[in-house]
Amino acid sequence: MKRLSTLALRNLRVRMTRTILTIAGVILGVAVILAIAITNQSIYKGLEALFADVAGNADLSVQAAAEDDAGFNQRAIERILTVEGVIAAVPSTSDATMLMLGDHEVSLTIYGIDPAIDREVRPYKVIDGTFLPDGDKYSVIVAEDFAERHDIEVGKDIKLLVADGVEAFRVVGILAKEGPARQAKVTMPLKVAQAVFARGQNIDSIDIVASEEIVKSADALDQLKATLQESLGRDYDVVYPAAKGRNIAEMLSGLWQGLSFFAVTALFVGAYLVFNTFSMTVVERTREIGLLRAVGLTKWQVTRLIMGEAFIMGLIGSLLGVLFGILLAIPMMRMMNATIGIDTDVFSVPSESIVFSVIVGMVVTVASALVPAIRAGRMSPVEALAVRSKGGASWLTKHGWKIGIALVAVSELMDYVSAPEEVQMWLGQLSLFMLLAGITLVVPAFIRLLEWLLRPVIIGIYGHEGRIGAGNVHRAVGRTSLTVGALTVGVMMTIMIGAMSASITADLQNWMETALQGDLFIDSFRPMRMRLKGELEALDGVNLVTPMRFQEIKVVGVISGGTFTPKTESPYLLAIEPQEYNRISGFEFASGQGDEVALVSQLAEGNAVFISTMLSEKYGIGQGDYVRINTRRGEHDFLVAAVIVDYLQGGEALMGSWQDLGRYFGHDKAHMFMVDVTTGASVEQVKQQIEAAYGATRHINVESGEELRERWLKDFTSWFTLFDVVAAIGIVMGGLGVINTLMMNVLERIREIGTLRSVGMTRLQVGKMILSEALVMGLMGGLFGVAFGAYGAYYAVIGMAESTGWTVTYILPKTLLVAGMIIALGISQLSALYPAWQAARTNIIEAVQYE
Amino acid sequence: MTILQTTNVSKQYKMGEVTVNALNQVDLSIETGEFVAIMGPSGSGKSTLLHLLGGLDQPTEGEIALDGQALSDLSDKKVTLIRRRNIGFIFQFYNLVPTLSAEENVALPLLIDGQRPRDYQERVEHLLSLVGLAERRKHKPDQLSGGEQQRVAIARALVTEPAIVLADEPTGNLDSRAGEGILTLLRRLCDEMKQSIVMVTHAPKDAGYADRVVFLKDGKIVDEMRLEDGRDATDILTRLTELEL
Repeated sequence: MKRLSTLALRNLRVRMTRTILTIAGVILGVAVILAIAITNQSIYKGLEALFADVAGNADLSVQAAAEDDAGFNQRAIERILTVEGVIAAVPSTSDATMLMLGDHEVSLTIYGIDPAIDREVRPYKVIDGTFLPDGDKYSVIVAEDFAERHDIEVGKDIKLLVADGVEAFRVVGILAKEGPARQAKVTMPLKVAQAVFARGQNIDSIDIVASEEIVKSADALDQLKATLQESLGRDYDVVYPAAKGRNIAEMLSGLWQGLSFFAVTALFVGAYLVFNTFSMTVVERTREIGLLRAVGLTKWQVTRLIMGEAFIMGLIGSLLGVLFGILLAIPMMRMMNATIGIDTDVFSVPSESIVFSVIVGMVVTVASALVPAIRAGRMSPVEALAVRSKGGASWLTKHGWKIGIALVAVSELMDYVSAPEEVQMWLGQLSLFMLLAGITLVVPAFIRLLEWLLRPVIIGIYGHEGRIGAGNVHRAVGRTSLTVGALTVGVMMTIMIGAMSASITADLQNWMETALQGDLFIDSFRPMRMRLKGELEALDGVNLVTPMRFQEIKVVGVISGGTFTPKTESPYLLAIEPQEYNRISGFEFASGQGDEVALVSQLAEGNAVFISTMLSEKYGIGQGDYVRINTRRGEHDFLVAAVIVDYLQGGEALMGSWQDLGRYFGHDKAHMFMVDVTTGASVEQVKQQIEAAYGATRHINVESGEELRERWLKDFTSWFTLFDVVAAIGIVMGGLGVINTLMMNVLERIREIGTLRSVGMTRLQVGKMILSEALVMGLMGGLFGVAFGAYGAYYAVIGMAESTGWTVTYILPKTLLVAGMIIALGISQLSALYPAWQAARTNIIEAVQYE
Repeated sequence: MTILQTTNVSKQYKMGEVTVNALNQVDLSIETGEFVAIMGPSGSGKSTLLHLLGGLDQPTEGEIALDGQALSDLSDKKVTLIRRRNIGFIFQFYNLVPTLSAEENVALPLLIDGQRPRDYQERVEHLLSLVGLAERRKHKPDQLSGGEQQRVAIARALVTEPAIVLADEPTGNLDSRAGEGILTLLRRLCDEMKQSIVMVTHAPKDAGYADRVVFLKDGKIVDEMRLEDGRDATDILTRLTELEL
């Protein structure tokens, strides 16, 4: 065994270029899988840690059931302290404000804490100055990173925008950026916060410290949670502190599933490269294998030798893949943090993901080498010694297309299989793997036909050298197919991501043009009083102003066909003045719901909502059903007046009337005003007028409709960046496949290249011949990739509609098809440069004598 | 007329630390229409000499001239073009392009030269008839026997009407009957078409088809023998023995 492994190592060393290329494929596949796992885990843990940091020692946290800017009365503390097992109940507030810095403003959230007792819950580390004093002095403590960024020092004042204007606060201390200071950049005494932000007796959160006996037991803590909930009632939520972070992380799970699918394709292409390499290696070493068998190696030992090489490659590739995966996760994390807008600051490398990635990498490598290894073992010594190189198509090449079609069919059928969510993802990945395998097996059936059709193009570009080069692709159909397959997968991923992005973006744009037709949009760091609506309407050029408010609500159930189904969901309610909104903008109703004017009137009358298509799918309800929502007046059933296409809050939004907002949720301030400018008036002039009149005093932000729509579109499409990275990796791996194949082709045909040189082919002509061979593969890969990519994107769009209710019109931009072809051709030619150069510098004499 | 001339040609190779003198001050002339066999033991430098004559390699010292044109100081591209248009090669292992048919293999030098099929089709057909393979012209190499493949190689070597044909052990991979057929063909080319041929061989029987035999030993020409006046392979064998080759 030791001798065999020594021989295996030597064989790998002797064919260093090929070994490196193959290992590179394994590295990339493993790296992508691990990077996605690391990023996923890091974001999840980071968010959990962020929110846990803020909570500190708190064992439980109390919030208003309906997320409310006004918060809840601090009287609740007295009720909480009466519950056995509660040691401390620590109140806090959070308010959005602006830090006024000379020439600009910075928006931030101010936390109000009780200095006397907050330190029992949260560990504050003061690195300069002192902690907050108790009492009502206008003082603040600042996190060190924030202080550094804005040049804030102990003993100096900072100006903050509060309810009645700008106030100065003395900086008494600087905190280390750890614990609560990771999120709370500026903190002031609770009483001061309540006063300056006009909160009255209201607070936003109570953090609870439980007794030691209770904390020791998870069941006891659960019991305390339930007791507190019962005591406080349904207007409050008693939660575990890290739950909020977990919820955000779970919202991202859909994104990770999508990325994991593409990681599977990266690994698949890695498997291609390994299979390719070992098939070629076995052919190349036919005589050597014959020699080994002749001197006494058994069939099983020959197979073990090849498998040993695969094992070594798999091990090296997987271990290096782990290293690259960790490195790749760094920019992925940065992209993800930028996309979700939270700096989670955690880099978690889960050991189980490392182990999993290594195992997958090794299993795939070894499995890919199995067939060639068995083939090598079966060679008869006499046959092997007599033959110089064996040509001819294998059984798989001749008949594999039948298996390929079957695999594609089964993959399609699997899309209709229902399974629990956790199993569904694995089934989906298996389905994708089968689809890719099926495509690969079908490709050989088309190679000859396609080469014949493409030959005039190749000759047109590369002349007579192209004629010889094109003919070479079907000398080793299996090898060509694998390479074309690798390119196909890379192009397919690019087309799929591009088509889905284009389809979703177009739909989003259409929706924005229907639903967000306002000429101007006004928002502020704090909810705005309705008084502003009248003031704005009085301005020249303003026709109509309508309020909008995003209210997080609690859906506790749905009623459909008279049957109640309990739910625990926290979507958003967009409260509007329906008639005004319809005059300025409009709604995109799902089809077949009746007269739209009547529907808008129904919404305006109250006790009714519009729900998005996604929520309709998610809750399993439609027009005429009811949604039960937790309100200040208790649980109330709202009629689903209509289903609309809506992308607000990622599609997880209902629309309700402004009247209902006041009646059931006790709010009358707007998060945003949508403005309709009078026909003929200049939108820009009206915008400037509003900014001049209210910008400084009310600290409002005015954006034109075009600017808003552009910004939302840009934010939305940034989510696709990660997918683009994975698609790019797929393309690179396709390129590796081309290099691998061409290097082997050159090696296999050294004597022939020598002959061509000896009969008068120049070095340049030899190079062109190799490039033309690559061009054929590139054209085939591009054509297949474009076809399968378009097909894949179409079914992905349909699948998305079926599973989420998000119906998107399928769009396949022609430029994308052209881009796909250009990518395939470009990568094939670039990848062929080195093999072409190698072929061109072949030593003629050595080559013609090569056996 | 001298068609190919070497003057004081030497060739050295570096093999690691060791310098090997493959050829040592070789002077050789080949006349138009002459069939010359080069013989010698393994390592005598006969293949090296053939490669230098064909411009596949460059001498370390000395000069090689083909039809009056010196090959030594030309660029690789120029030598390649000369080789394409003026030299025909026949190898031991035929070296046909497997994806091309017999007629395409024959036309290969012309194809590479950018000529159009309609300009050379007739010549290709003529050559295939000459070598007795007109009816097999559409066959690929794996559909031809060893002898047939070598005939295709011969036709390919002749397609550009080269100044000289260089053959490296052309019968080395054939049975005796097929080999005889090849040698008979080469002899015919020389007699009927005045084709100049240089053939490397280790077989006295093969050398017996030539007009002149040149004996190489340790990179030097040690003797020459004209095969006229009834001399044949037996005489060649005797001479080899005398020279201890």
